[in-house]
Amino acid sequence: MTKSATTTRHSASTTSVRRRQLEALFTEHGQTVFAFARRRATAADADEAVSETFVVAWRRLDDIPSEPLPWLLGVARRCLANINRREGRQVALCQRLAEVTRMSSADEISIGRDISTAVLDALGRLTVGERDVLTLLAWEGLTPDEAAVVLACSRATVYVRLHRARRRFAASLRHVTDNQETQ
Amino acid sequence: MTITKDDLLLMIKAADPLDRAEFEAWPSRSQSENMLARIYTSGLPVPRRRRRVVAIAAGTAVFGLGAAGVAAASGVLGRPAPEPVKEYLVELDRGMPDDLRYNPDVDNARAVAAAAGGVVYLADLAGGGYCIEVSTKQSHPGGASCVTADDLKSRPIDVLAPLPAGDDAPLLIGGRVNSGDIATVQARFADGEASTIAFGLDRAWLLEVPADERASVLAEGLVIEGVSTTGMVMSSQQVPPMLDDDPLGTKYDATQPLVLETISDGSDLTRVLGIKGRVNVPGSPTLEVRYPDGTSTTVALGAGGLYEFRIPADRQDDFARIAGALVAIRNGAVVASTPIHSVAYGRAHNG
Repeated sequence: MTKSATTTRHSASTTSVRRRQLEALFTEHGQTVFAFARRRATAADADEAVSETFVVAWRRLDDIPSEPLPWLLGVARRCLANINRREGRQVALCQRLAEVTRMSSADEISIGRDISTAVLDALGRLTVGERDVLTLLAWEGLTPDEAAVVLACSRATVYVRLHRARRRFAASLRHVTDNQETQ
Repeated sequence: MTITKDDLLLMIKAADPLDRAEFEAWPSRSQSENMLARIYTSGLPVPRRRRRVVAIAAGTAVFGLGAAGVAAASGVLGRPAPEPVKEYLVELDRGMPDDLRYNPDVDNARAVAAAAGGVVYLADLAGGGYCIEVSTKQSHPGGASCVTADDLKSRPIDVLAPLPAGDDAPLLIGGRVNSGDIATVQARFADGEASTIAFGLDRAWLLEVPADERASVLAEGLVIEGVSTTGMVMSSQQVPPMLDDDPLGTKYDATQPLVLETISDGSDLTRVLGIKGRVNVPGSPTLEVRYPDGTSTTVALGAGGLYEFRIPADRQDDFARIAGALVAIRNGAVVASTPIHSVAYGRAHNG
C-alpha cells in the first residue's frame, strides 16, 4: 500500500466518524434547535438558523462540549441575530410575541388563551436579557447554568436577570390584566 | 402580586407559542432532511431564498426591425460565440469554489437571438439550465445570467437588461422563456402599448428598444410579459429605469448609513481579505465587525467616516459560508448594520 493510499483511507475514515458525530447531534438536538428558533422567528428564518447552526457545528465539531445543547442554542441565537441584521430587521422575540398576541386576540377567547395572551404580552414588556432568561428556562427547559452558556454570560448574571424578571413580569402582568378587564 | 419562580415558569411554559404540529413534523420535512446532505457536500446552509435575478444585458430589437434587419439577425443565429464572449462566460466562475461553479459549456456557446444592435449567446449547463449573455454586435459583453436546472421553474422568463454603454448605444433587453405555458413574449411600455418580441432559437429573445420608446424606457423602465396561447399574461417582469445618471454610484452611497465594499484578489471568492467604505451615521458612532461565530472587533474610523480594515489572515475564510455583519454603534445601541459575506456566499444565496 502506498503512503498516499494510506493517507486517503485515514482521511475517509476520519470524515466518516465526523459525519456520524454530526448526524448524532442533528438527530438528538436538531428539532430542539428548530423549536428554539421558531419561537423567536418566522419559519423560514428558523430553518435558516438551524441550517447555519449545524454548518458551524460541522466546522467546529472538535469544540463542542460534552453537553452540546446549550452550545448549539447559543450558536442558533447568534445566527438568528445575524439573520435579523442581514435582513435589516429588528425582529425579536417581542415582535413574534406581538404577532402571536394579535392572532390570539382575533380568535375566540377562552380563559386559558386569555391568560396565555396576557403572559406573552407581559413577556414582551421585559428587557431582552430578562426575557431571554425566562424563556430559556421555561420553554427550552434549561437550567440557569445552561442558560448562561446560551447567553454567553455568567451564572450570576442569569440569576440577577431572573430575579429582576420576576418582579417586572408580575408588574407587567398586572398591567396587562388590568387593561384587559377595563376593555 | 407575588409570583414564585416555579409559578412564573409554569405560566410562561403554558403560553409557549410553538405550534406543536409544526414542531412534530419538522424532522420529516424535506428542508430538514436535506440539511446534513448539503452541509457534507458543500459546507453551505440550505439556501432559503434565491433572489430572482434580473441580470443586466442587452437585446437587439427583433421588435421594430425591418425586413433587412430580420434577415441579418437570422443569419447570426446558431453561430459559435466569439472569443471575447466565451472569455466573459468563463469569467463567471473565476474565484468560485467547485461546488458553486456553473461550468457552462463555453466551447459550444452559440448565438440564440439577435437584432440589429446585438446578440444573445447561450451556453448549456451540464445538469440542465444555461448561461446567457447579451453582447453588442462588436462582441462587447453586456452582462450574463445563469439559471440552473433547479431554478428554471422559478424563472418563467429570464430577463437581462444591461445599462447601455452610452447615449448612442442600442438599448437592448434580452432573455429566455423557461415556462412551457408561455407562448409569446411582449414588451409593455410606460404608455401602455405592448409589442410582441420574436423568439430566436431555444426560446431566447432580444428586444432593441425602438427610438420612439427609448426615452420612456430610460426614465420609467418597461415590463416584459409572458403570454399564453389564450392571451393570458402568465408572468411579468418589471425592468427598472435604465438611465444611468450616477455612474459612480455616489448618490446612492450618500444615502446609505453604511457603505461597505469587500476586498478580494479575485482568485478565491470564498475569502474576504478586507473591507472598506464609509459611515454616514451622524453622532460619532463606533464601528464593529461581527464575525459569524459571534465574536467581534472594533474598526477604526478615519476622517469623513472613511474606514478600511484588513481581515486577519486566519479569519479571512470566516465569511465564506456564513454572513457576519458590520455594525455602527452609538450610545450602546446598534444604529446601522450591513452584512459582510464572500462573493461566493452571495452566489449561493442569490444565484
